[in-house]
Amino acid sequence: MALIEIQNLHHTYHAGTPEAVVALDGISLTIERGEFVAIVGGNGSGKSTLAKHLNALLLPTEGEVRVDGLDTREPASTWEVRQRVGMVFQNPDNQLVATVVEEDVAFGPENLGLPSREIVERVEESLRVVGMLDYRRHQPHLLSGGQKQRVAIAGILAMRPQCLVLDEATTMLDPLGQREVMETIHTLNREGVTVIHITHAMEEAAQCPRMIVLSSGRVAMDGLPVDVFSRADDLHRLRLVLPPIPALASQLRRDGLPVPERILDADDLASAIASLATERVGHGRVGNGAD
Amino acid sequence: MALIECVDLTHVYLRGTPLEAVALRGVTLSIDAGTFVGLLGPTGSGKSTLIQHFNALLRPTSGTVHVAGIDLSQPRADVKTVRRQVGLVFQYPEHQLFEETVFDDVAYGPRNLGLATEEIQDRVQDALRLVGVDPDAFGRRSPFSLSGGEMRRVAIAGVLAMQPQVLVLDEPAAGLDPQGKQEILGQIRTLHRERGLTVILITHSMDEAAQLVDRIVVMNRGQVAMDGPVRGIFRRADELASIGLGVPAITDLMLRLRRRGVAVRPDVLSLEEARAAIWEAVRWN
Repeated sequence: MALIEIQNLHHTYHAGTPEAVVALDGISLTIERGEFVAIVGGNGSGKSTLAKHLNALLLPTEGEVRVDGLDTREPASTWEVRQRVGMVFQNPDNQLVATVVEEDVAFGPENLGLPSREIVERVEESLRVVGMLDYRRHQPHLLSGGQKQRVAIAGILAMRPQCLVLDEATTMLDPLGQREVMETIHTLNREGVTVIHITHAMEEAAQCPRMIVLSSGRVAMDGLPVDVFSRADDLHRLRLVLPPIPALASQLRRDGLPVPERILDADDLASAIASLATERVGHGRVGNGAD
Repeated sequence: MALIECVDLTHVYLRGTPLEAVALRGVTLSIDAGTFVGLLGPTGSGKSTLIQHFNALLRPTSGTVHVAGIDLSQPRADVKTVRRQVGLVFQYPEHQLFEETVFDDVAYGPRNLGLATEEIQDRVQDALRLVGVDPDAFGRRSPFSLSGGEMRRVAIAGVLAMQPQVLVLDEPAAGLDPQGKQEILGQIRTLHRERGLTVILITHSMDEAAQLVDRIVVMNRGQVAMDGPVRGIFRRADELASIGLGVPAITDLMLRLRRRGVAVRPDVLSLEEARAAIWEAVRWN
């Protein structure tokens, strides 16, 4: 059984009123345990609405969402679903509740009514995984944006979820904070946590093994980032763009430089160009090869 | 004197309390009329504190700030004139929309200036067109019925309708989809080029800065850490990395090529420049 199974999911806000807005319009998706999935799409494509269905913050207007086999529409399952799927939101300042880092992380497990030794263990382990153990007695409001987001992630990890959903969790961070959060979620994924990362940053999506593109509440593309990024014109229609490195690689190919296809990464492009440059040593000046 | 001139500007929050925090320490900076400046720096480096001095939302704890010749370290400084000249667009400005129609929201500032109805009408239409929102199609709609990108642009139009000389924007593209980002940044570039507006842009994106600005000021721990033309700043990749920043993706590619012995120029900022530099290196190596 897959961790998340979505069948023909529809969601309409203000259904049955003149303000009704269709946000999700028939989504079917399967996400297996241990996957690392990026979800991208233009503003208003339904990304956040979809995310909120994964831990029963929103319920389907039509269709169904199953998490670890549990139907999210079943009121009796709500808490079990939320223990399995944790959410991290955009603004770190809205997600921290306590005045000391370790108390913030302990908030969830305390509410589970766990014995205090177990809580202490979970808090320590979670802070260690996100690299914030040294800050356990610090005040959250004095941390940097990236550190706050990592504490927010630790708070969710302390609930031992199977799946972490990040809804634009890197959008408000500076470059270092973005890197810290990306490294943290890659580490968690390697340890077995399923990660669903919603982002507008195409460079971040390029780092994920699977990329889902939403448009008008439907799945427009679903596959490897290299395949998604090979459809530049389709992406453009969906209000997205290629990240700079694949954009440059495809431009150079169009110019006639034999750069291999399916390049996403700066290092790969640099080696490809470097070997082309060496090959040409001693061949004298060559034409630009344009068609 | 430059349009904005800070000399030894220091700002301390909650001075004399246990929560005292020094946000700016001895910032000296001058910004000439008509320039496009990128203000970069990690979270907490003092960027937001600094720009709030530019329209007198904050006053110096010590040191001076002059805007258009007005000395804002003086308690009786003409703050009204300064605020009319310096328009500040905060992060997520769409959260500040409040009127019933797009027109009324943009007209709010000009109405408070006591302008004639016709003048208000002209300013609102002009401001909306500048941000690519059709005043006829959108003017009577509720701002809350718009998409995120449209709301953002209407909020910026509200600042433009005050006809400021200086536009200060704090992460104007944050949270927008990639095309929404390009649209709004393109419009800001147009305002600078065609209307001669002085623009100060806070951004976390090195790629955005490379595309848009002439000069970069890097803040770190309340001080100016680097200040110079954009190309020169992005040549200093190691220094940028040491304060948690980076270089644009394309510039980074050039540095990787050089480490592999390919003799490309290091100070490349755009895809077009990279294309030319790579062809040259492949031809002549």
